[in-house]
Amino acid sequence: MYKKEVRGELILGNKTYGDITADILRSQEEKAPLWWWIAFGISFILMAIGLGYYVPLTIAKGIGMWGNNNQVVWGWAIINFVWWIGIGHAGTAFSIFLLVFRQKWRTSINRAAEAMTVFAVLAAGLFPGIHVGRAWDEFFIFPYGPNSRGLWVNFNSPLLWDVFAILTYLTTSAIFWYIGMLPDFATVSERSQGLKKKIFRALSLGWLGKMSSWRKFEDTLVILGGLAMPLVIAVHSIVSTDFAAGVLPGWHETIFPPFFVVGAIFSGFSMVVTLMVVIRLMFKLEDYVTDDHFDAIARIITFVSLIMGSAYLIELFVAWYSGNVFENYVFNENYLKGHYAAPYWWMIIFNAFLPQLFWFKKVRRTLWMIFVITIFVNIGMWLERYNIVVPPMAEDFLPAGWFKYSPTIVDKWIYLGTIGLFLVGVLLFIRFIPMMAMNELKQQAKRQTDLKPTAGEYIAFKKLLEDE
Amino acid sequence: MNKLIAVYSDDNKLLEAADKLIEVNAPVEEVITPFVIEELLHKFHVKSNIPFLGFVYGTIGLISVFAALYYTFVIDYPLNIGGKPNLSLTFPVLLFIGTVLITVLSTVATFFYQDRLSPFKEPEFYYPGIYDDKMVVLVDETKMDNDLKEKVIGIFKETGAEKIEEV
Repeated sequence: MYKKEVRGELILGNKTYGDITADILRSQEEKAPLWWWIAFGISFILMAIGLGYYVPLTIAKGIGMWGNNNQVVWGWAIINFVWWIGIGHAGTAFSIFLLVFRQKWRTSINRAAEAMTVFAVLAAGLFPGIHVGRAWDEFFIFPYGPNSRGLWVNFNSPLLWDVFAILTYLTTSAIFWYIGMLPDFATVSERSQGLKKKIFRALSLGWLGKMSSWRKFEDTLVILGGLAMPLVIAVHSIVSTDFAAGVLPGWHETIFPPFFVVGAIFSGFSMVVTLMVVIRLMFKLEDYVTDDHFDAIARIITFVSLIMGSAYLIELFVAWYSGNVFENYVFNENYLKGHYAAPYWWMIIFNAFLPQLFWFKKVRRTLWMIFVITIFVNIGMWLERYNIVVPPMAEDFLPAGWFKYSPTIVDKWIYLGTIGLFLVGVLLFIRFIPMMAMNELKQQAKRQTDLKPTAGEYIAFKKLLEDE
Repeated sequence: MNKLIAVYSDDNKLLEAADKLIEVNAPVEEVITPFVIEELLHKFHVKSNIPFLGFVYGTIGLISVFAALYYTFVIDYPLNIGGKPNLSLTFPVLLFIGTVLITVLSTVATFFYQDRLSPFKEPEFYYPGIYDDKMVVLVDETKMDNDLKEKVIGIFKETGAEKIEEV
């Protein structure tokens, strides 16, 4: 439901349909600006070192290259995996939840959010691939048959569900993203020459905006969206079950599935905002990504932040209320005042307190503040995964076994490598693909003008008043 | 020379023309627009069977994933995991995910097939600006007598079509 009184005008400046096409495609029809080349160069170097050198090194020499030890058997790899998957849920949370709930303010942001999803899930997918240790035996995960041992994989294991869930999620998100782009690819093809024209013609699959085609297009997207929405909840619930099914204090919690899903939406939305601030400033798209958009997202982030804060409190309370000494140690000793107090308290500040600044309208509408807060939310969400993974394992049942964890250079570079991969993907997307759904923006522009009274209506209305 | 086309830039004029064309029963073949105009789809009663087919695929997907899980886990190689039943409550997780995967892939395949979308396809009609801001109404001339044709052209002129052409 789009209510102009509530959301304001979502496209400013009385744009015609032609203006919208020209504005959105400007970023790819003009030469790449200098900042783009610098950002691309840095990201590419990060990716090349992290994924081109340190990943092969891990595969060649083994997991011993990482900071994992006998006590802390899961380190940065799983932290980064969960973090990236969480960010990857942005596209679906943003684009699809808002599509299914008919929130029209998604239009100028959904494409970028979907792109982020695809690259973030790719970055996430790398980690399970390498943290199994023997990457060449990976096919054991898939139920192939008949195999040499007459054996099937364990369908009761959350780690196996992960494989299916994430591959399905990646497939669905990528398809959803691509189908939504068909009409826009056709537009790019129409406006370009030579090889670019041919490539985009092929990518648009010969799209023609017939009435019947639009009907099928819309129906397909709604079905995909309707299926992807519960899928997102399933995927992150499964990721949380990787932990919750373990017996370790600090992991063995029924709160985990909703807690993880909400956390994913939290970090995903924040990452979308961070990127949109940059896109808006760099490409001068104030008319499309308006203050009202940021206002709406900031309200959601505030609400989600409150849920996160309550979840943290509930964890502390239940750990105490359970009367279980191990549980109580992890939460009320180790987190609050133990060796791992610093990351815990930073997490609380970044995730539960900082976003509360969004209660002030001024903060919700000041770009740099939104940018800074959302960056800190993502740091906070990384710390949250660190707190879940490391402290409970480092100090569990037997104090004699306690062992401190610290990541190695290999851990750090692989993480930086995935950040490089994500940024390279996003930068290529900005440069080569229409970064906003032009066909949807035009639809929105139409919806907006329809709401304005026409001259005839206005005269009739005045006459009615005079008659009365 | 068997099609009459009218080009519009204003969707409100296009909708006005659509109403009048429906009134005189003009054989409108297609209306091509750069973005979806819901009112137009309603006026011409454009429907698709994709939602129904999506449901069918979902049902088939659910049954086949269940069959696969049941075969592998209960019939072919029943693992004893602490004496727990093989047909376990963990099935719904994979049932759901498998069903989603099968439904998504088949629905998209159906969409591509019905619209004959492929990388090698050339669109069957083109008019400059058709992907930007131009909207084109195609009327089948062979199904009109001269009388109706005049009426249709009259409607196009009256509603302010930018261009009226025979192709």
